[in-house]
Amino acid sequence: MSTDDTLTQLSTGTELTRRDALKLFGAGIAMLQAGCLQRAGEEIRPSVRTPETSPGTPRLFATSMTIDGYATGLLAVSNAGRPTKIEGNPAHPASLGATLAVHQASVIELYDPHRLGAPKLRGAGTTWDQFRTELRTKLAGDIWLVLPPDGSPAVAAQLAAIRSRFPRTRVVHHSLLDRREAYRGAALAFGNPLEQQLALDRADVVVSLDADFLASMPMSVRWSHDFALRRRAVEPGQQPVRLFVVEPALTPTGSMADHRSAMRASDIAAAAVALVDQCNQLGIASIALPAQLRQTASARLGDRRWIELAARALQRQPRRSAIVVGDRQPAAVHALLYRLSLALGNVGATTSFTKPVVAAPLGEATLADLAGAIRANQVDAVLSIETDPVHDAPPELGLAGLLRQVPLSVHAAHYDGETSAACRWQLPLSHFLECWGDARAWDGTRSTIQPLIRPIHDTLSRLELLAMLAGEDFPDDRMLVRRQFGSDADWHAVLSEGVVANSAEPAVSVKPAGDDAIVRELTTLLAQPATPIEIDLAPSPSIGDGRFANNPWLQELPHPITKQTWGNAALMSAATAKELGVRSEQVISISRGPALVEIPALVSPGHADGCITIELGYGQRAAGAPISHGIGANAAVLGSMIARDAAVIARSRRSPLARTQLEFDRNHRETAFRTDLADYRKHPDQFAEHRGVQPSLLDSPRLPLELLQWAMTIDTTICTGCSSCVIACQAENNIPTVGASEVRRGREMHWLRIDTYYDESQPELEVVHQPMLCQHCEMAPCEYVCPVFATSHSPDGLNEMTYNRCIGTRFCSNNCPYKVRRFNWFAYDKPITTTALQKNPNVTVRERGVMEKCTYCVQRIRAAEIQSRVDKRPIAPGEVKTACQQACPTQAIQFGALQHTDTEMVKWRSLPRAYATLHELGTQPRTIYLAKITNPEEGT
Amino acid sequence: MSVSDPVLVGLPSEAELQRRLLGTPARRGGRAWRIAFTITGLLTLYLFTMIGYTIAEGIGLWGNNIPAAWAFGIINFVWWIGIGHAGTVISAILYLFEQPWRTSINRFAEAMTLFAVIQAALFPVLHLGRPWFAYWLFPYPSVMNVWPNTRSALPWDAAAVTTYFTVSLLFWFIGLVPDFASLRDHAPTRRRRVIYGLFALGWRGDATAWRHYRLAYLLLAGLATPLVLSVHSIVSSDFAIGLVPGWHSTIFPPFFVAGAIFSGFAMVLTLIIPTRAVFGMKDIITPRHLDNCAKLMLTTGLIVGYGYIIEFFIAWYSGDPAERYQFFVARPTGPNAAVFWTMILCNIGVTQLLWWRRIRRNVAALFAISILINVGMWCERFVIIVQSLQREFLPSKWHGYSPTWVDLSILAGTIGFFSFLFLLFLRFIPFVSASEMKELRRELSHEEHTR
Repeated sequence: MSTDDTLTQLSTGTELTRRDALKLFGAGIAMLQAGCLQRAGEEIRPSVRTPETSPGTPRLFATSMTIDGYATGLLAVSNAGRPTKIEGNPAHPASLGATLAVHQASVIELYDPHRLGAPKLRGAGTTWDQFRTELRTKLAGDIWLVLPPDGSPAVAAQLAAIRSRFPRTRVVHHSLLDRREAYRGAALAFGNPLEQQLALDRADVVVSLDADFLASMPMSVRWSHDFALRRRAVEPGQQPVRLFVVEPALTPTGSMADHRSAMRASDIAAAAVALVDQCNQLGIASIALPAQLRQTASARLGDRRWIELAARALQRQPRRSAIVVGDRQPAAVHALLYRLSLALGNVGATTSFTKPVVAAPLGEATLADLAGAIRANQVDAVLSIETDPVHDAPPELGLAGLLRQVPLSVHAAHYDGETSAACRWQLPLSHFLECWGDARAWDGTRSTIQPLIRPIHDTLSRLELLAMLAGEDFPDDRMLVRRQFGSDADWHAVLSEGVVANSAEPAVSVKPAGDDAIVRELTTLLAQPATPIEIDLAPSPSIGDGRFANNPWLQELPHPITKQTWGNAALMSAATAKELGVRSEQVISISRGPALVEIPALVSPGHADGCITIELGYGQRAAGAPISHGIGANAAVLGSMIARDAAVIARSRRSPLARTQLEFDRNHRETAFRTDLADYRKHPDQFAEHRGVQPSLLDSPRLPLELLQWAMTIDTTICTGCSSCVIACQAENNIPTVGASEVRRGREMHWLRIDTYYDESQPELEVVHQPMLCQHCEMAPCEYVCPVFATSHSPDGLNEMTYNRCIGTRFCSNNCPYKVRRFNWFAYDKPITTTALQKNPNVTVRERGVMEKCTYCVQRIRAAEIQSRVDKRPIAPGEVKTACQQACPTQAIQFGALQHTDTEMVKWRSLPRAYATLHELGTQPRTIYLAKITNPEEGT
Repeated sequence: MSVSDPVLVGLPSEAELQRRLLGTPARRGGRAWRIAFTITGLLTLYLFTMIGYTIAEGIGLWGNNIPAAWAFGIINFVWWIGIGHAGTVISAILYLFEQPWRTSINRFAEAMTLFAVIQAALFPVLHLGRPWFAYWLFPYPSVMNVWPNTRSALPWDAAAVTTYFTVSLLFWFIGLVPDFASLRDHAPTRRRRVIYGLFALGWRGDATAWRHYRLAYLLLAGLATPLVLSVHSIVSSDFAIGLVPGWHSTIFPPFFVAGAIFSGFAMVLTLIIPTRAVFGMKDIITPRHLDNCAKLMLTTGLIVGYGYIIEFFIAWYSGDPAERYQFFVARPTGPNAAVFWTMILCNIGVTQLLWWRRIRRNVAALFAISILINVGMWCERFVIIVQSLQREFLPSKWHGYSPTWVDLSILAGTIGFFSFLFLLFLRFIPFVSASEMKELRRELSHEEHTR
């Protein structure tokens, strides 16, 4: 096999043999020797917090990841030149050291063998030079760019350069999840498109109208952190925040609510009007609403209890509340509630407004404009960059056919997408860990995107591609970014820290711009009659709008509410399912105009009646992306986030879903306790019987106290179920994915899962998320049944797995009451693909036939021990963090040594709400949970 | 029918016994035998193909999952080893109790034991994630000084099964030596003479040899007797030492032993009823034998039924929500509940038919009942293992189980392999002990004379 063939294979993802891999390594060394560098040497500066650089010591580099233009600061871990893990950047306001699951999972895409690796012309491999030639000869006239919303100053500079070269350039800032309505709402309310900034650590009451602000918004990590600070204050002398949520489908935010009302997305406008009306009546707001509007809204709402409770809470906490509205809600709803925030005196206290960070927040053009222009023969070139408009657009737009008529059409992406097939050119883009760039966070803070590795394939960054359009033949993204910063010293400081200090947007003062426009829009909205069934679209909690659809970790990440993996479903309430005559897993077909979606139904807890929620991002049809191909159904074709006029028909076909949890009732088992604050105050000792040492005839384990004894405490009060910890654990511990059919068989490999229990029998839906991992029992039931001592106890209190000794009897798993052990039924970790480069070198990759489970990140404990021995000092409190703990946005997971009595971890264990799961079994787990305490209005 | 019913009908002469009992190996296999031999041989081949497939690809080919990490593998293991129990009960315990009716069926039952234990022994190895390290279960002198964990039931299991197999093999072989000698002496060809001669170990049948032989046989019977109780007790501790609701029970050892003997006698009947018909041995294997087997089945079946009642009672009495859920919700109504109801129907319902003498005398009915009891006992192991694991402590990890085609193939394959070995046994080895039958004949005729 020639080296060329091998290279092609590498980039197309076929497996390499050992011989070929060696050949490639050889060729690589030879190339380095010859000095055939593609570009000039680049300087990458490590974060200043890294102690030193020595072989075998991972280094951290600050970088950022942007989603639809909003950046989250990250620290990427580099092991011997390979980025292997993502952590949050503590200095970045949108991270504070934590991340979401999508950030954690981004690292695996870098090594994905299915990523695009070389430019293609009509599907055939070609070179960038040929593309340059084509640009030089053909790029002219009406140029349309389809880009995601973007806040990068460097990108803005390039767009300006393109516009000055080609004045007839139009930009479509396209995203299914664009926030245009929120900005338009601010414009309605205050005259300018503005961004709402929240200081949730100062809020005593939070009201969310259809906003999953704790898990799926660009600022969710920070907001979760701030919210949790106030949420966990449930001990005597403290007062936790109270959360009101109204939404159609249960979200992580909804699962944290003290008072939640489920209603259709189209009814939320009515709820907003009713809430403002109630506030008017209580005298805490005076926003003129015509009687007609109030009556219509009131007629749309069944139960007003939620409205009354929320208004009363807002009344009781002047200037101490925060209101968030979901991005899919129409502008008028945003505007009305911005006005309410202002009236309640929140602005300047918990809420402020700033200029948006994204360019053209109200949008310049839409996909429909583009389609119209092509039809009118007014388009000479279309470049879709990091967007997949053909997937996202409704079929009546006919975008795929139209794109074929455009003389120069380009799809630049990371993966083969549905737009690729319609375009002349398919260009590969670099992963953000291969790119230079700059970005801005939600609050305006500037940060840099810094590469950790040279592009693995023949790819260009988005910035470089734009510069190429602007006329630079051989752009260098580092120089393009460098220009945006000042002196060398500043530049190096920014690279080290990852953040430009004090660069957040200043708050602007706002004053009402008159109510007429808002009222008019609301009247129009509410004038539309309620339809029998409506389809509400929402981002997938794992793959977003589909941009992460090719990420196997995210595809296999259980949905926080339904625990579905590998696909989406038509979520609906039991009543709606009964009305439609469908059962869970039965396929329904939804049609709206020419669009048709066939999707299995799934009865979901806490869902509003009369509507169906479908998550976006699935149903990818691009053949070149095997991970996402054909998984789930694409609901974006319905054309609207709130589709009120869809027809639903039940089919007889069943489509089994791959779910990791099937029973959601606690069944009175000794786990996942919850109660409300009043009850907790009244009976603080109610959990006492679920902790402490059980009497036993067996000897208690003797664990030497001169060694640090490791333990974990998890506060379920502030666990939102966001699942960042699950992916962090997967990345840290080399956990394989197994695919939908294996998940269906019950063979998923996650060492850490989040158990979720619902109680729908109460007036408020009660939800408990319980992260479940190896409990590291002191009296471990798994240990005594292992015939070969493959699982045993360490002197520092860990339940250890010796993979080499394991013969795979699986008795340990049978005897584990927590069912946290995972078995390698097959050789899940195929050794020879490029994804192997992501592996954490400090964690064994497990072979077929052995058991595995959470180790409390023992590799991190041992690394800290070695370091402390080298430094001749004891391990400091808080020095060892597990991967799950580090990623958790709310810091619900605390880990450390029992001897470090000043840490949260130890202090939490003596709180009255501490309990051991399945305490009655006498396993004496080292992992202790804190019961979930909710804070509803007393007497409700 | 009573104890006075004959255990040998019509007192055939010694020469006739010699001809009929030792004549079977000399007879050519008929057409039916060849067809059966081909089918079971192919099934055996299929079994080993599936075993190879499992070892090459991984245990994931089976339906096991988390929580049901044990399923068909362990069910089949316990089922087969249970079947193996009847042989030892007949040959050792009834020998010690001097029950003359054991004579004509003991060889047969012992062979069944051996072949069943061979099937059973496949599974503990095969179900491992890494079967090539199965020897780590044994306390061999490892250079690493690592021994098996004696707190786990599994090394005891390995020891118990291998001991049981060894003792059963020896016992069976010792019993065969005089018959091998007889076959050698009457062999029509030189080849047969040499082969049977090798197995006869130079037996001459003199009085001293017989004296030593008797002593050895008695000692082995004494050794084998406790094994009947110990093997399945240890197998039951694979479950009883666990804390799984449905496993964690002190009643398991006697309950399992009773179940084992129950299924063992059912299998004896399943095999002996066609054999005595095909080989025309209704006077040697008499209705008295069948009746006795049926009575033992009824007795042990009642013990098994009592075990079920106690399991349910204790689950209720303990007040433990996990135990109560397991017995009163998960088993009768949970996933695979049909298996539970089949178990109740076969093991409790069908067994009661054996109270009636008419049914015990009806060979066809007995045959059908014996098969249903074998099905029921397989279901019992499924219920204990899979149903318990499907519904453990944390509801979040409740998950169903369904077997794959490989699971079903391996189960079918072991039945084929068992039958294959049995057909070989019928063909090449006297399946009724001629020497013991002659002895019995002497005793019976002596009794007649003295009466």
